[in-house]
Amino acid sequence: MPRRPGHQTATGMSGSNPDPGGGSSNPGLGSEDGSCSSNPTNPTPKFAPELSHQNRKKKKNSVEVKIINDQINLRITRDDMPFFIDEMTARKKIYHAPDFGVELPDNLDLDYVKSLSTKDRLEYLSNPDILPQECVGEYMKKLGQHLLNPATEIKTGTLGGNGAAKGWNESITGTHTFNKNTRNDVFFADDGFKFHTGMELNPGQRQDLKDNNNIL
Amino acid sequence: MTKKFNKVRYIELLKKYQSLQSKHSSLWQEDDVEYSELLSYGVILENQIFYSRRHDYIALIEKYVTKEIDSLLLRLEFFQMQREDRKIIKDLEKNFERLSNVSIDSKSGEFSPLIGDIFDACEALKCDSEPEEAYGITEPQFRAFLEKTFLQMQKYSDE
Repeated sequence: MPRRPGHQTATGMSGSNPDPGGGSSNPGLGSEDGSCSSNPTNPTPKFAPELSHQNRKKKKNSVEVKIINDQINLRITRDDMPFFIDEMTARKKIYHAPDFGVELPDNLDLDYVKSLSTKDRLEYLSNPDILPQECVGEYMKKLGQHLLNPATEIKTGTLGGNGAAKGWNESITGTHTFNKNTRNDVFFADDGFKFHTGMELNPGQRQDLKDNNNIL
Repeated sequence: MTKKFNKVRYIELLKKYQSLQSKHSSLWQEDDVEYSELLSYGVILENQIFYSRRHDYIALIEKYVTKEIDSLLLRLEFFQMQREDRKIIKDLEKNFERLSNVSIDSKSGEFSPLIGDIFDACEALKCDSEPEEAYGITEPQFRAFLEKTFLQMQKYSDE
């Protein structure tokens, strides 16, 4: 299992999107207002222009978008470190999307959910007819922007330390990317540097992260 | 709860935090000890906000325990309540007059960790399709944990 070198904290540069080989050219897609309502035919996340200029500093930042089996996959390089965000995981964590300014579609309304059968509820989050890919793509885009935000600090740590103390599975090691301005944290597991979860932290969670490099 | 909620000091730190932010600086860069102190007051306020809404939280968990709602609905509603509570905290942090009128119930520090536990459990719940060794807890483990937590919460329902 690959691991990042020791405990580190870094705040970095603005991102760039040189679109390295194989990535989508990402033309004019996605909405800028955080809603999921625009451009239903092409959900690929679009990154803002400030993330698209060539970087001129030592460490490399980049965004690569790939569509594999109709699923959006993002590879984001921040300070030479690769991070991966896949659509399926983002879909599972969609209930945190409002923390990143992404409005959930109207049919994700609780009253609507209550009207669904049990089977439909189980399939709810993985069904693109109910939870459109453009909405998930918007969430993924915001996660990427969070990662490339210069104010976002990167440090190694764990997720699930408190759960482990309750006898649940062992905590997982990985990388926290926390922005003290937005109070959002996005965690990437060491196993493949893959997106695990992303949310706004409560005061207690921020304290846990500061004191123990851990959340949850 | 060992730390006293010193509202005067909390407001002083919030003012400093906001002043530095407006100058594109930050308290955590200027003074890490004060930033930790600010966070600790934030936790006490958070405890109180959760405690103030304890009847809503207890009612929601009861719905799950009695199988009126499933785990998906529980998580959607729970995280929505958490967002609302964070907004209340943020609003209070900007309104010092209202903040100075907040009273902290001594039981809030006992109740709030239960909400933290539920948050952790909601986040850790994994799908049936995920491998056994994957991080998280299964639905039966989740239900057992929430049933136990619900029993602990109930003693705050009459207060």
